[in-house]
Amino acid sequence: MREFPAHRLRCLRALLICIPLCLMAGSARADAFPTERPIRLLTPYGAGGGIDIAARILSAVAEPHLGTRVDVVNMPGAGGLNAAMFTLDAKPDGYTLMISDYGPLITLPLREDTDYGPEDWTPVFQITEIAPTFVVHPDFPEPTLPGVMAAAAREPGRLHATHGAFMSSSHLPLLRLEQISELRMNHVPTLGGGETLQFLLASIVSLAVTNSSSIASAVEGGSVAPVAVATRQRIPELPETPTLLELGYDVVMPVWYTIFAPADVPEPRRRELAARIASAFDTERARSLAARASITLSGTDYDSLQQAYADTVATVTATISALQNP
Amino acid sequence: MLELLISALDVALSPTVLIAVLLGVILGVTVGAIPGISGDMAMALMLPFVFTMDIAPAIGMLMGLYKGSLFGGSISAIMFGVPGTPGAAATILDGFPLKQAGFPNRALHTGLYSSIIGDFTSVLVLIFIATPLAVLALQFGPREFFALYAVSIVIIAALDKGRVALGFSAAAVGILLSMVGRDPFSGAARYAFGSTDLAGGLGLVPVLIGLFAVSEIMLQAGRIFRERFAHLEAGVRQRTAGEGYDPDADRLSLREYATLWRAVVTGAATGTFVGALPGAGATLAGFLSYGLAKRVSRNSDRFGKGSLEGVAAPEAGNSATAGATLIPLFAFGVPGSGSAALIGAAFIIQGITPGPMMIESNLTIVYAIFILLLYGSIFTLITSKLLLPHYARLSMLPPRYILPVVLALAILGTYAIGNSTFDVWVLLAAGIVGVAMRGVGMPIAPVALGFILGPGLERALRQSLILGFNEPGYFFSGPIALSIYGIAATLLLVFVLVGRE
Amino acid sequence: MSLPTQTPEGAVPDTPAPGKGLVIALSVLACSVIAHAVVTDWRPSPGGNPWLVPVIASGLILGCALLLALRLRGHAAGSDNLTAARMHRGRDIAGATLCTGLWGLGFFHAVQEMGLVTATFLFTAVGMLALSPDPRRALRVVLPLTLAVAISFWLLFTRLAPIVLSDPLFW
Repeated sequence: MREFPAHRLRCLRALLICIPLCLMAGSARADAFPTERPIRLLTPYGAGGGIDIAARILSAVAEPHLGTRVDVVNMPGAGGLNAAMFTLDAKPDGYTLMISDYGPLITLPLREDTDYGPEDWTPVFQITEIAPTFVVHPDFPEPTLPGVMAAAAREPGRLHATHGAFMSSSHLPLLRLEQISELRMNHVPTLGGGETLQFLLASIVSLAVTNSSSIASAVEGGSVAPVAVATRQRIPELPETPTLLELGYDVVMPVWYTIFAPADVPEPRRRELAARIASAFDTERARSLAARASITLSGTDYDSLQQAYADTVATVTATISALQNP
Repeated sequence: MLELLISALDVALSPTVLIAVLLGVILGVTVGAIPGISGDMAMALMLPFVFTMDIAPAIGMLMGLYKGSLFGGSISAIMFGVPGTPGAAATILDGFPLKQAGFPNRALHTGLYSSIIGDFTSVLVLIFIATPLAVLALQFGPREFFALYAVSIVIIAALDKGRVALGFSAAAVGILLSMVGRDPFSGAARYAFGSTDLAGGLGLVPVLIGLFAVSEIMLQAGRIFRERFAHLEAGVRQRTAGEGYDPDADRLSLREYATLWRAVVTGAATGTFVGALPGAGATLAGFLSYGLAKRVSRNSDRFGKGSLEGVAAPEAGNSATAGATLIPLFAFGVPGSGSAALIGAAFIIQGITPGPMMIESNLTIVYAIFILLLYGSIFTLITSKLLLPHYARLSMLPPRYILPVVLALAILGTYAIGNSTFDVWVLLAAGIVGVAMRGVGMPIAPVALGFILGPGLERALRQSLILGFNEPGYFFSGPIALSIYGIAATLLLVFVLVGRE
Repeated sequence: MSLPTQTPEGAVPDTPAPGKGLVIALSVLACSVIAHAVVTDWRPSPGGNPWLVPVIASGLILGCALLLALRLRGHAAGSDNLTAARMHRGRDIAGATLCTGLWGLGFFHAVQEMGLVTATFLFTAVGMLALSPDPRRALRVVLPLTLAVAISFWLLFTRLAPIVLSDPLFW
């Protein structure tokens, strides 16, 4: 009991030291960013998906580099609209970010009447790029893209091609390929990667478009055959598989998992975040976590990221407007 | 082979793995019993920790969580009429009436034993006949799923004798409710009336908990509120846990449990099969088991009024999906349910891609997982055995203390799923709808089932139309689809004939 | 709560028989869905149309409503007994439902505005006291109970399964 007053005194002293510190922190707010409070990272989908895993990796390695915690908040619902609106409605101070693919940011506002457009977002850091991959069953007579296109040309509109959800990032490359080649296929929307793969394995459909990661094991086991990827360059996981660009179709629609800030977050803050997140990912631990989860970290810098985003906006806009005004 | 088994045992029985599985089970049973927080959500919350764990304890913990929550969900279903997880919705139909009659312990133990038996069965199936079953499950395309969903709805909607029209209209109302939101095939917002919230659709958990539980809470709260004056006037004190509830009368003997074998077998078989199908899940397994068990039961008229069989069947059914849901994941890398997707994510985080290659390259791990799945069931049994009497006592506390806490939990639990305020509104609105439905005598179970199956039914129907180029003949062109219709027709015929006598 | 002396069977009060109101409600619902499908300019989509399943479901409802109506006609005499007692009971239930719903809404908003622990403590306490026959005596049980509940909610929803809360007044 004797010690109690001494302890109290210590508290008081600590408090007295704290007050000027707090005041200083207030005056030097710009410098303190982003260490003042935890960063909230919204994901537009539920837990366990690729985006969630990417976000959790950042959360696991962020603290020493960002000087604060990164809290991942899953806000599925309304096709990502809930998460997007929550991020945009938050104070534009860079403490509320969103990690997303392009669906909720570009496709959704282009097709629906949303309160925001693609221009309301600026990319901050790209974690990975994923290739929409065209795959066929190994029993397909000629398991190459020209073979598929020839089969589609023989019976216009009768070749079954499956993809994820309607207008998702696995459907748009298929649509773009059709627009360029002027061939028609019979599109079967599914719930996503798992169902797509099942339909292909069971030979219910001939062609499937899905993420390279969801078919990795099946490709390795020889139960499906990849025929093309919709990226600019071939991807390291499938070095034998040509790009659609090589095959003469200008379909470059990579899916990326990118961290976005609302466009009204000040530019210096965005760059600060980009630099700090980049240094968090440039660690042994981040690399090993990513490697375990089969995530290939992309090293795109801040400025080329802006360009990549603009390119995706342009391609997606072109594809969707061609659909709406054929 | 023997060496493999020994090394697998070595992995599976290491102290860290044992502790991880036990921890998972305890957490799962507890969390599953909390309305709104389902096993899937608990698993999702555990995923970040999986980063820092070894593969065997990580998967062990997740599987423990999953198994524990499958049973935990029925604890709150029986105790409060709240489905702790969507899979437990069918357990309410008889479990809650049993509790209201003063037999929570019997209902809980019936649920526990059935759960363990169902789970064990499906793990054995996973270990021994996964491959043939997986090949069959893989052939379940849209056409086959349409047949399965349609037949399921017929079986559940026709649950109550003499109220078939009512059951069907309830199922159809459920389907209509599930249509609110974006059409998956065109993106058109259906029945949203300009609201972006409605365009996102109605959530499964808020609708289920609202219909079953919030409506019950609303009715009970009203009754207690009125009775309170009656008691004041009459000077009678309300019964409390000590006085009204007799724990001795509420024991379940093993002999009595053994008489439920028909229901348990029906549930375990149905659940294992449904669980192996990609995309069907524990909720359908529970309802379908319930419907089928009622058909095969000698005492089918007691169903819905507090029948032990009516608890045993759905519990065996929903827990039997635990092992079975891994079948398509292990065999083809196709995650068949939300839970399987989360377990698949844990594998991916651990650097193992689920699929056929996994069995070739990581056989020790696969065997170790089989072993820990088996003793995971035993842990669930032991943990729950210890906890159940206390839970049963807790549920017999005066409802005036329980109701506000349960409703508050349901609200926050629902909000915790997607941090969506709209979900809370849906929860309360579904509660009001549930009260209205009880008022006009409309059964709730078919509405819930229609709501659960609606999206899958629609997807299967429209995918079939696309695949068959709008030819109606496509629906009857596959052998599996035809046999589903055939079996259903035979069953119905038998029921009609048996019902006559 | 029912008496434990009751048998498990027959614990549920018998549900009311479906009446005219239900038939009318079902028909109105089905007809309005069908009418909505006809007047709305749906986006064309493959595999039937967005209105396909809703219209099928509505057709099913209409058919069932017809069957129910026929059965009502069959034994019409007994079903039209909307007695004063039943009306009174209906009003009671509607009131209780409304109050419980408002309690829920109030609780949720209080969690956002006042803070998780404060709101949980206040609202569960109010709820329990409102349902107690002798609120003053119940206070001795209710206060520690709600405090424990509030603390476990805090553990659950900020530590175990964190929810997004706005910056509240208290905690």
